[in-house]
Amino acid sequence: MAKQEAIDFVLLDSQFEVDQDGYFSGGAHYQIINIPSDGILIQGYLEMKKEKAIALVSDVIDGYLTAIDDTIYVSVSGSLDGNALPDTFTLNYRLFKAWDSVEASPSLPASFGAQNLSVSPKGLLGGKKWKCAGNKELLSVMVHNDDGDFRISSNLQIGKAAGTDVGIVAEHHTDGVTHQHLIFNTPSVSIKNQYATGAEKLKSRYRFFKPEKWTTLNKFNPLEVTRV
Amino acid sequence: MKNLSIDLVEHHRSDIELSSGGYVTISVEVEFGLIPETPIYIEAQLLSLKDGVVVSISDTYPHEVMFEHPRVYLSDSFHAGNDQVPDTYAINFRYFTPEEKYEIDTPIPPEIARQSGAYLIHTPKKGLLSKEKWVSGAASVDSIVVKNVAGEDDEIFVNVSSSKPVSTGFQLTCQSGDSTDYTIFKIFDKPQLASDPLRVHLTGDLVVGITGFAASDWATTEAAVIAERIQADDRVSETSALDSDQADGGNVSNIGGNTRYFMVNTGGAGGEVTIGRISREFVEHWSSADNDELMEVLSEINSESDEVSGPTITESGNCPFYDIDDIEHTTAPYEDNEYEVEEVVPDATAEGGYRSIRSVVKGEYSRLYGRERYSEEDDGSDEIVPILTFHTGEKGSFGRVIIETSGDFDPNKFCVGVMETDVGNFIDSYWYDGKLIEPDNDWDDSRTNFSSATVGYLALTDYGSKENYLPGTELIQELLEEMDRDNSLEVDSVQSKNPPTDKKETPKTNQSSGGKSEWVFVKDKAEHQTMKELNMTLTRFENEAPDEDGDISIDLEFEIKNESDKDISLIKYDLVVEQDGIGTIGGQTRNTEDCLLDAGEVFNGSCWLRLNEHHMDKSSSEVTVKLYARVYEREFFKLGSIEVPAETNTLATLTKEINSNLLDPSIVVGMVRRPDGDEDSKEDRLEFKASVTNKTDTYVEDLELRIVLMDRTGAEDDDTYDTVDTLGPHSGTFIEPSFWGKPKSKLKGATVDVFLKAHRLIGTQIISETRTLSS
Repeated sequence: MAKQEAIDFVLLDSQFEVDQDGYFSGGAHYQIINIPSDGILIQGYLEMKKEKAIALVSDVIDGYLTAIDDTIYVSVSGSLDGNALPDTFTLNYRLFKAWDSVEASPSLPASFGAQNLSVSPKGLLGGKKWKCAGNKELLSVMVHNDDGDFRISSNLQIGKAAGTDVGIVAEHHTDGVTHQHLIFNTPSVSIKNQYATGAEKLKSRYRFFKPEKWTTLNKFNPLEVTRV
Repeated sequence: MKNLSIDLVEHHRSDIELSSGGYVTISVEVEFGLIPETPIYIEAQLLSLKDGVVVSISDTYPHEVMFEHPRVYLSDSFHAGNDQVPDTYAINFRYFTPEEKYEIDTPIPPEIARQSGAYLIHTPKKGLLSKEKWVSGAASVDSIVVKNVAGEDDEIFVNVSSSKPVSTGFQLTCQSGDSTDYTIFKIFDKPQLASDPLRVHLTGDLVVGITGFAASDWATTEAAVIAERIQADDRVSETSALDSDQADGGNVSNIGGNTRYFMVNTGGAGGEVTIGRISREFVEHWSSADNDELMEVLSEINSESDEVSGPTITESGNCPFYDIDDIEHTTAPYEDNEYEVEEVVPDATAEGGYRSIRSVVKGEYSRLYGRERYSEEDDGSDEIVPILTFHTGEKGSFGRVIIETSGDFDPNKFCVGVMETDVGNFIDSYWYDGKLIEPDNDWDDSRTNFSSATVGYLALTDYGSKENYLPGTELIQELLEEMDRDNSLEVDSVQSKNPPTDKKETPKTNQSSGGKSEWVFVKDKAEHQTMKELNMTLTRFENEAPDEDGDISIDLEFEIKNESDKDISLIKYDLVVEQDGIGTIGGQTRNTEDCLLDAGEVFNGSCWLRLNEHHMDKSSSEVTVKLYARVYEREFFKLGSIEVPAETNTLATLTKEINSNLLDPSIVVGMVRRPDGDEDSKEDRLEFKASVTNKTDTYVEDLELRIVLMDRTGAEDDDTYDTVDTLGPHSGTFIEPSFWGKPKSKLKGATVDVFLKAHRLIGTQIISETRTLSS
């Protein structure tokens, strides 16, 4: 089997401007290459510097990246002008690698407006099937029949991992596929009102992602600021 | 991680409110024990359980908890349907305890202190081998960015970092001279953060303080029973939180059913502004003077000095300028303040009658309207009057706004009206969810920083007058509808970012007032479907022989049996008669029948139509009868009652939150009593206006606002209504029924009851049968 190549970042574009009120804004667009076939979760933020002093830090963004959806855009804004205008920027990022998963087939409400609650079926020895290592568990799934389509609310817990960030990607397969991702550090979490088209069967897959360390891209990029 | 013995010690209140649509809101108030004297923060989430199974988990928020106020309020809302209504709850929590505060002395060089627009970045000093560290626990300050802002508080933000993100919180303070500010508690979501802005007036060196907070491990409480179950109750009138609390005679209110209270602190900068008519000569004489010269002469006029030169300030002589306020006089915050929202509970023992339980959000004001009171050139028109605008710029507090809701505070529903003047933009009115909220100014406290004045000319137009921006006015209704549309567009555009992968979507454009165009995606799926459960049959088909003009009368009857589980309240049908080789030879359209058809019930319909033999193939007596039926479900609301005003030209309004699947929940009905005819007329008319917005992706049909006039004995006197045939997806309109020629004697002590109904298409059915015309 060929070895998975290391994930790398390509800066596609960056633009920054400052207006006459001293409001600085902009962002950078990155492509991520060598994404594993089962996708990755990523968090990132921009660190802006002025003569090596930190001038501004952006909010964090997150995304679920696959081979066909492999770019992120990180924006930044704040009250900065004059001799505090940044001269370089870089991306700080963290990857979440696939860790564990749970598959479920929640029961479906037959009539319009009805809602079914499903809990984990038990195995031969009484263990819950919607559970994986470290007490990560799908606690329950509520499926609401919304005029023939489904609105799905999933309740999960991350057990021992509480207090550190964990990523989850919830996928629902009916006639099509919908997915939603979430990064959280609380012991439990609800992913509410996910949409799925109506169908005879619903297969749900919950993938847990484990965070790696925060990393700074090794190069601080010089930036040009346009005055508008 | 720090692990004290802080734990949940008492469950004070827990209730669940059920709405008819299957949504539930759970609210609990719990008390924590062993809280130290220094405030700590508890991050908590509410788990709702049904028969031991978790059915929903709330988001988390940090709550400030003090020794004196050890309670935390939590809530969650979700769709539970009929069978998943929770019976118990549990709480996940962890707490953040403070580390030793670290203070940083930040000298401000003169060029920064004096020069507007100048910036400075402070960083820890570097030595040969080491670097100064600005650290409190795991939180540290990387840099402090200072901006000098002209005429206002200067702005500071701090770049902070943590070696243990997610498990570290921080709070910042800053002080310069007597001026101070602080940030709300925040948890690091990543290793570095830029803080919220801090605002102080730089009068000397700046001292910035950071307090890091360390998190405990997460803990989970035992499940507790939800004590109270409340059916959603749509209230027509609301009393203030304080009033209801005091009426109960309690010291600390229980939070009362589903009502939650949010206090908006309106900002620290603002002042008093007056605009009034003065003499044209005074304007002409002083219009080119600068502020100092004008302030000097105004001061002389105030002091009744004999040395006042030039023309008198009014036509009738000099008077103190603060008496010149016949056009505008208000004390208000500036529009560009940042507002801050806290969730509060009524507490008669707390200063101001409310106790804060958590910080909710800080934000910039969203504007509903701008009312222009700028001075302009004298164009000689009748509307132009010479004016003095006077303003004292102040720092302090300029009112708080208490908002009562049944859910969480929604920043999209909060907006302000603004009065725009030569001396600044002042908040004129506060609105939440389409309702005007009066600010509470009892606790205001401010000090004057500066004064300014201008003279000029003002056009007294309707668009500047506050009367046109009151609840129920046409202009305000339009603006609120526009804002609702913009908000729903934002929601839709956010939702559309992750569209279903297997659905075709038809884009359509909407144009907002700001000129920006947004895409709204409409599901390419007929919400209405052919209903197999709608059993339709023709039961009678009889015709007469052609008359002398060749007209053939046909009587036709049919049955519709509702075999679905839905209630049908309206049936519309069209009848088309065709003949082979000819096509359509007649029919009848736009038939509408009100009904209330429960599951299993049968509707009998009949219609009469006329064909003409000259439109037909006379050699054939066979015709095809096609019946196209559409059935609708109905939403019906009794909005409430309004007392008819005793005086003419008086406005009365009714505000109602409705629980609708089709329409936006906030409905405001305005009623004005006006003379019907000349002043001596013995009759008056009542005019009503209400706006409605379709919040769905489907059409709303046969919308009706009905008004029933009840005389002073409570007997029904008359009724009237106005309708809208079709209201498109995500669109709005307004309805205006009225009563005309009502004798004044009839209106004395009268009230009106107001009802709203709307229909949604739930199914269609077609039958096509061949029938033979009898000779």
